[in-house]
Amino acid sequence: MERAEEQRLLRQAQRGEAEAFAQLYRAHVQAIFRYIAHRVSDPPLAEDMTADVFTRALEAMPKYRDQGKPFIAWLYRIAHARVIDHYRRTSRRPAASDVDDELLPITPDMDTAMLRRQAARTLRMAISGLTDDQQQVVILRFIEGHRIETVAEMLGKQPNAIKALQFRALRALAGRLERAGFDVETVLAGLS
Amino acid sequence: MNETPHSPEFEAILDECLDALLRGTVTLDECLEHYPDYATDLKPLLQTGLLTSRLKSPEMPAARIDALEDRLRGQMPNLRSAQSRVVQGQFSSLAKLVAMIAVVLFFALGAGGSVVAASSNSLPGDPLYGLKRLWEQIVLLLVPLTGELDDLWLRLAQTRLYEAEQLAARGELTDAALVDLYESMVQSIALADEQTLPQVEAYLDEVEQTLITIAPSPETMTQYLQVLALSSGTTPQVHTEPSDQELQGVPPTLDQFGLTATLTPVLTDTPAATLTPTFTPSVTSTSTPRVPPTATRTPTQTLTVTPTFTPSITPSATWTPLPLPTLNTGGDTQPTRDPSSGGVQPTSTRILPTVDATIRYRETEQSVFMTQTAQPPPTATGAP
Repeated sequence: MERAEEQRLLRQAQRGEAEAFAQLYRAHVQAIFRYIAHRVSDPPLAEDMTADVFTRALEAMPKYRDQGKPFIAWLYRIAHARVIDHYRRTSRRPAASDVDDELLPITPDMDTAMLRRQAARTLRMAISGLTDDQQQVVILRFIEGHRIETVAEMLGKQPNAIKALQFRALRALAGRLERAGFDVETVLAGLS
Repeated sequence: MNETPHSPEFEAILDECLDALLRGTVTLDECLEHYPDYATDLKPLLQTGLLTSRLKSPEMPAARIDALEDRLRGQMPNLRSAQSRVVQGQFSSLAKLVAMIAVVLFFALGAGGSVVAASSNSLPGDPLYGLKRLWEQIVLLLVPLTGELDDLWLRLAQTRLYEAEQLAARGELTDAALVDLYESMVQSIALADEQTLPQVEAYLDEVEQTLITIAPSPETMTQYLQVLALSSGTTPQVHTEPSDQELQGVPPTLDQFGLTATLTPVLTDTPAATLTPTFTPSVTSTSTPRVPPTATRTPTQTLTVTPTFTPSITPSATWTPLPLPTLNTGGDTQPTRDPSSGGVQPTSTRILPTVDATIRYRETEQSVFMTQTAQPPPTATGAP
């Protein structure tokens, strides 16, 4: 969605125009759902939390102030806060050691389909063991495909700080996959 | 995995390669060849980034998206109402704050605010008097939010009395000033409640004494009384209940101070108490809903008329329309100016409790005054 179009819809939504907010919702709902789903690894829960994010966004629309950042950056912040709140209330956040224990080794006799499934599961588990900041960067940078500058804008940080976070996140992921016997090169070859 | 070097330069190279890889403009090998010094460290990180980007993302089912959209659309009307309430609430709070400030200024500085304090002692005809009255109107608009309307009107009534006194001292007392005095007096009586009743009574006594004092001559006193009757077209009169046959046909003329105020009993086919009070009413509240009307006339010419009546808002043919306010002990009425008569009458939009008024009209050597004991008025006609 073009920035000018988004700003127009935001103004209309703030005046209470339902269609404008609906358009904003449709433009961003999947991205918010993906972000949450990657964070909580539970699609039904992610759906509920996505609904909660947009409900809160709707309620907070009168207070929304356009600070030159994409609207989705605001939604990501709400979603991030919602995820943190979820883990705080449920105390179910997986610890890094737990994640390592559950990483299953990739064996050469796995067929491609099984390899893909196993790789995906292992990778998701490894991501969920990262810090909050690292997870945000990994999801926004590699899953959502945003550039560093955009991620920095969304998270309210400097691009260099995001580059450092990106480096540490990839280093941590690579280390965990290596410790789990996960040969990334083999998996990538199998995916190609 | 070996510890990868951590430097801003390496992070920048990593990001540059990742950008190119994710956009598909270069291959992994091309990137590593471009940075041979960092190739060993870059490779696992670039592979991990590439693998992560290939991770299939979950999608929210379309049905759930539509259902959530419907839900959000359903919440929007409520949200709009809530926004409105928030705005109204904020406005209400702000208005109340402004009102309280205005009232505090009013009571602290007399009839004026900080800017118009200089006008607070001005009198009709003075250059600043318009500013003073404007400030009063502003405060009157705001003060209902603070619930101090009765106090304010009493203060205004006292101000009008002071002005009348000062104007009289200058020899400049005008009919308009007396009308203003009368109107503020009406409002004070109408808004009096149990707490302010004693103050209103004291005020009415003060009005009486002041008018007596400032009247330069009996003729002027008559004029004042006529003006206070708000040009109702009648000489101030008290029409008493005709139950007392002794009073029938005996219209005593009071000539104290040269005042020609007649007590004219009005006889009607149906007994109905009719009040046309004259001059300054002093007010006492009573909890007795009805007092049997009695009227006695003593040889000393002290006439006490105690009618029980419940006047209707619209005077019947047997009533003489009166501009005199009724005391609203329930604090639930607002007299309004009747443009046709120039008088002030209870508004029909507010429901008033029944009135039990006792009028005592006494003639003494010093003064003529009427005591009206009133409880809320409107409908019903009095019966002996």
